[in-house]
Amino acid sequence: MVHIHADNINYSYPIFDKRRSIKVSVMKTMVGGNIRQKNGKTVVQAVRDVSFDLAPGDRFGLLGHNGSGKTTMLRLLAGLILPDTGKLDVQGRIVSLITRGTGINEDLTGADNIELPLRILGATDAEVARAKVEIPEFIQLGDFMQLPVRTYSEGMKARLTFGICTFLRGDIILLDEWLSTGDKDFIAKANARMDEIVSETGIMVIATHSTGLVRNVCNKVALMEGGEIKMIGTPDEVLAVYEDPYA
Amino acid sequence: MSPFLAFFRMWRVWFIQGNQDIRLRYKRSILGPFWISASLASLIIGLAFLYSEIFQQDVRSYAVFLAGGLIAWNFINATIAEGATMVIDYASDMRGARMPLSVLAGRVAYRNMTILGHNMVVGIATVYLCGFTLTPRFFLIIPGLIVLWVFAMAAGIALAPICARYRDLPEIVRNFLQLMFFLTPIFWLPSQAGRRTLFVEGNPFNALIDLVRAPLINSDYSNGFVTTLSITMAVTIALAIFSYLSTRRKLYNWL
Repeated sequence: MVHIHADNINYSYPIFDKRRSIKVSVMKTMVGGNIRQKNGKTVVQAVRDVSFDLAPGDRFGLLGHNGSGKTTMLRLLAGLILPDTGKLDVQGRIVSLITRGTGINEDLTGADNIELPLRILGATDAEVARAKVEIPEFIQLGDFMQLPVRTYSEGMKARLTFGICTFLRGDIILLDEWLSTGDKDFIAKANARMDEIVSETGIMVIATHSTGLVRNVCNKVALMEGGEIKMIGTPDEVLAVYEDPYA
Repeated sequence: MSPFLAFFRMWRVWFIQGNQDIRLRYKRSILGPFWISASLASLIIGLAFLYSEIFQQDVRSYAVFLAGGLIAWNFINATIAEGATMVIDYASDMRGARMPLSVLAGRVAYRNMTILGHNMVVGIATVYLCGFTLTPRFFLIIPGLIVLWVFAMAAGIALAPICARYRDLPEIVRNFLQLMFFLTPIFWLPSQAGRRTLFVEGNPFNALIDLVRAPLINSDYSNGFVTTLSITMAVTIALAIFSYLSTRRKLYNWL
């Protein structure tokens, strides 16, 4: 059964840098997590007492300022880091698109770069075989697929990365901002591909700043502040608070 | 997913990465990966010619001894040095995806095992060119290479996290390896150690080298081989498990 249960999870990371004064000034700003002392070490509490439950069909938006803990939350869900305390239970095949381009080697050709990133994401033999046919068709780089990626323009690289990382379908998809790239024609294709992913995936979790996206795509939203979930609810409920400067 | 299982489940990842490493290292070179073989061959010829005279040894038996020792040492030296820095080297992969230490270690071990394969061609050629032949004992090299592979991965997993946390350690590891190269019977013979038998019988690197050298040159394993090898493997594997368990929660912050 595909689900995500987060029960009171906490995560903090240590600061190795010694310049305290900068931290003090950071503490006074709006953005950022909680900076505290733990066992005499300075730590940033990036996620604090976070709980939520997600079931298939949920399109979960994480909304909040820079440094409010959204990306840390995604990393926890992806299993890149483990919570310090609390219980996190994630069931289902996770496709993590938090960092894109992992496994792409610029000295190899586009065609030779398809398999490894997909294998890192956990692709099966059948998926890799299909990808080698479908990805070149989708990104339409033509003969450039046979040239080293370092000869590509930034836009072409972005197309390749997008084509590879949006190929796999999972039960759970983790997104740091909506993915879109390319020139006018490709953006339309990219957006269609993203819509397809959203409709074919059981649970989607997306960290974003875009209120429009939250309204269009999500059915559940958490407003994060200083590592905590300030409120959780429907897009309308949460956006009413998020967009109200006096709240 | 435990790292032990991950090594088998994600074998494609380290396999592809290891092949890419070899391919890219020799890209745009004429000899390609055979540069590995060529550089070993020149080393054997050069050293055997001079050192057989210095040590008053028969040049042909000295050459095969040297070949066996260098093939094994190249693997041990490279896997420890590259294993120690694998978390630092592949930090960007680890930031973006679940990349268990055993997969990184598999990449380093597999890549260097490929290099060892290229070197083995030179080793076997040396044996025949010097008038010797391979014997059935040569098949002992198969379990030997499996043990070496396990050692390489355990050493990498033991060293890499702590080397990522304290960036001076890779330098210390390299210095240590250089010292061990001279303290281990690779270009000097075990019999020349005289009363200093500890450097032969109690030397973990000698036991590891024997895994390859003894089958290749049809010699007996050194005295105390089984004991020294067992202790070396047990300690290295224990350190790897300890290193994994004590750093897995913190490792991401050290990248």
